[in-house]
Amino acid sequence: MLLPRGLNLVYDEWGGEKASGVLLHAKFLDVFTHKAREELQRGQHYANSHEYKAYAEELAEHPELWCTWSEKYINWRQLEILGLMSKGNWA
Amino acid sequence: MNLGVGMLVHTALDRAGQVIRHWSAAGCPVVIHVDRNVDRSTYDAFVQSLADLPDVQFSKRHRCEWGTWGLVAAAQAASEQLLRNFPRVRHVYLASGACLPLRPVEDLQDYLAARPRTDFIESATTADVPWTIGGLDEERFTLCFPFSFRRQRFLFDRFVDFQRRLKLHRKIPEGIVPHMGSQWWCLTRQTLSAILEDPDRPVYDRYFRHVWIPDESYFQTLVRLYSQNVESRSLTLSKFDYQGKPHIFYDDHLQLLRRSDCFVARKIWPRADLLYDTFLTSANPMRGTEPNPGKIDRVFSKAVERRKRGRAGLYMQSRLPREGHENGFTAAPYSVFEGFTELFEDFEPWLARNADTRVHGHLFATDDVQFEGRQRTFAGGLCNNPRLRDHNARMFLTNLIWNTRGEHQCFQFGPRDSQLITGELARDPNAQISVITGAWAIPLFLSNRDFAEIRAEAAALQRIEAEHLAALRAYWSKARVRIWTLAEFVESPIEALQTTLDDMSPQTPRGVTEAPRMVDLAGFAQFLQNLKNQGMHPYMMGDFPSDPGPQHPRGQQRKPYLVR
Repeated sequence: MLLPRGLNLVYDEWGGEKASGVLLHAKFLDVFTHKAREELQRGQHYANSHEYKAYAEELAEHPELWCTWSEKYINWRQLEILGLMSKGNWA
Repeated sequence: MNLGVGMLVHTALDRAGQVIRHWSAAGCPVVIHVDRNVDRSTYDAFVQSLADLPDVQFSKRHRCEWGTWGLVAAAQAASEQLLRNFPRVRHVYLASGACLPLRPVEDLQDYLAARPRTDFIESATTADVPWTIGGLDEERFTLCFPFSFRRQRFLFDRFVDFQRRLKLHRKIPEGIVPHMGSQWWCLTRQTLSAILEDPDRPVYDRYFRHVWIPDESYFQTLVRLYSQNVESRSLTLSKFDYQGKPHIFYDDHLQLLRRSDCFVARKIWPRADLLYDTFLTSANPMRGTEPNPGKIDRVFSKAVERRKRGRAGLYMQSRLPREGHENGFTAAPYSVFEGFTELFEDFEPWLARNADTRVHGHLFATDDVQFEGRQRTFAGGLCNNPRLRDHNARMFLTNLIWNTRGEHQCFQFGPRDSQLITGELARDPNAQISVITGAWAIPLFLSNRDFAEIRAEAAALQRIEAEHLAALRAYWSKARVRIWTLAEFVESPIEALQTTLDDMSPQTPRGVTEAPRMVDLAGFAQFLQNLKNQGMHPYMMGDFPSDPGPQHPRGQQRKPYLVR
């Protein structure tokens, strides 16, 4: 099925907000340090796994992404208030 | 059974059936119009499924397409049949298959019994209300619309253009004034029968057949001819979004709908099980109160506002306004200080003590981002990398202000800093900018460097500051700007500082009790004179007295204070 073209226009250019969400990337989970090391051994990633090398190196020094300015996740309304996502037209 | 229901159905027949049972159980006769686009077997099955109900009938079917006469014909057919076959019906309620009664039907019956002569129908003249969105208003009634808006859009548009070009106008039948309103109404038998049995009805029907969206204007117009008591509001709660499409109610609107005290709401999503289960089975405790859609109105108009105007100062994946359409470049007021850290040794800590605010250093320094306390990161995970900042200086500033909503931000700025943000600062009404012009010369004066170097740098800084000031003073500048020359400022520093503090928090004026420590300027006038002697005219400082004043030995100098 051909989807309407409008679906590709994901942001509003005239000041309004369209509905949008947030994805939690697995690279932000605490198991990622372990995962990065494992991937280095497997060596299955493109460009000699250089991305994973960087991850493993950096995470060995700073395994925590938490900082003073981090916020604990509460719910989607919090994400909306923070401006990370928007309800758009949803009431 | 004073109340009869005419129901227009075209989809989600099972839900419609459920609601029909609900009306019927309360003793309301129902006449159902099923869109002729529904195929025969589905229709038969639907009729069969309701066969056990008394006083439920099906009317002659018309083809109903959005915005066409078919919807009026359907409403006419259903109400005629209702009035003819159920003589005890006093009020006819026009509903759709996606309408859901929110309160017990007896409530509605009592309400109508108490208002036996009132017609509830939204009806307003086009000239007076801006309801139509992206459509035609007055022209609905003066042009002719033989083509379908949905299926024959090209012909529709061309034919409208054609009529406009030739200035063609249809004649509105004598005696009627076009009115518009919600297509869901509740009329008395007297009014409705007068409309349907009017000897002139063929004239009106012929006219409205080619009006655009006649279902929103046929009854709304004709009711004005006969009704003795029009209450111009619909008993059916329906909300429209920013595009003029009806909002659909889902399960999460349950509490809102419950508190609205409206009798009927539309459109309900067919799969909103919770809504159907709740309102069709349990009794709503709000008995006898007036419909009160105020709260639901506020919630929905806020949603429209969010969709159309958004939050000022927010830039994110679904809001990236073009320049000039930001509805506010930044989220909150902030203060910019230029030349203060040069003139006062301890300006930043002094400001932090004397105002309720975050005091940053030179956020836009070329080689550094001086967050408060010289932290490496700041609110929202902003980092102190100057190259990242300069990659998009606008967004750096808007992010900082957005991330710190609720507290006032102050930062230092000057000609030594990266100047990318100058235009934005000048354009932003949230920016409160205080400038001491020429203060950049003080560090040079104190630097004790090679004079040729100093002279070159002074010339460069003076040029940059002049450009910056030109932006602040431009006709398009919207920032709140205060500019002192260094000479003016030094003359009465306390008053000037007091003014800047008052600008920051006008609600809670605070007296300056202590002044920041001013750099010792003895010999500064001579320094300026030396620059002049070298052919470089430092004019930004104002008229600094060229003869050195009485020299106080440092340390004995008392802090200046203000007598109020």
